[in-house]
Amino acid sequence: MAAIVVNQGLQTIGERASFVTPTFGRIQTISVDDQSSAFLATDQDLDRAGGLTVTNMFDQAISPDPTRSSQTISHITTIPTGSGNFTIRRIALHNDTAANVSTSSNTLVAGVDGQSLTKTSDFTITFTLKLTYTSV
Amino acid sequence: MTTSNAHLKIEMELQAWADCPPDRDLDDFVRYMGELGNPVLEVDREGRRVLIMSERT
Repeated sequence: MAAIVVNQGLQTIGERASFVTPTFGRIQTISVDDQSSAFLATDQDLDRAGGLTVTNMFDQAISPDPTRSSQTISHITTIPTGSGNFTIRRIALHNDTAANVSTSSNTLVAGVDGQSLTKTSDFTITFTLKLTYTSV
Repeated sequence: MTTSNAHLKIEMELQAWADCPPDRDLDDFVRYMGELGNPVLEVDREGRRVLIMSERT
């Protein structure tokens, strides 16, 4: 497994933290997809500008709203029975509404790859993705 | 200027819980996760859910 905050994600976080007039939206959507390639720092979308084939993808709004505890921000979403029913290999955060997120939208903030979870319509999955910020 | 906190580290932690349907036996659901090839890392009997992913980087 690898996890990465892509360059666009760092820009998103920096803008929001310093209250720069935003180019990007806030982190508000989680996606799952079946692409086995690892995320790269330069990735802006899930299909790498058409360079990757993401056959199956599902995204939806983070719910409830993200929360903070000390230096950790938690993002949660529950994939319903009727959605995401494929082998989930990557989970990602996006900086736009679920309606605007697609495999080719430049909304990627961070992602975890190298997974293999089989989701079926028999059950829901609740994902919790935490970002912890530390000075080193 | 040099400070002792010159670098920012961002760590990611991801957990995935499979939720047992209300009308299904939990032990049967745990077996089903195994049949699907999903790792069974922890069973929350009170919450009727199964931890199938727990990663931290």
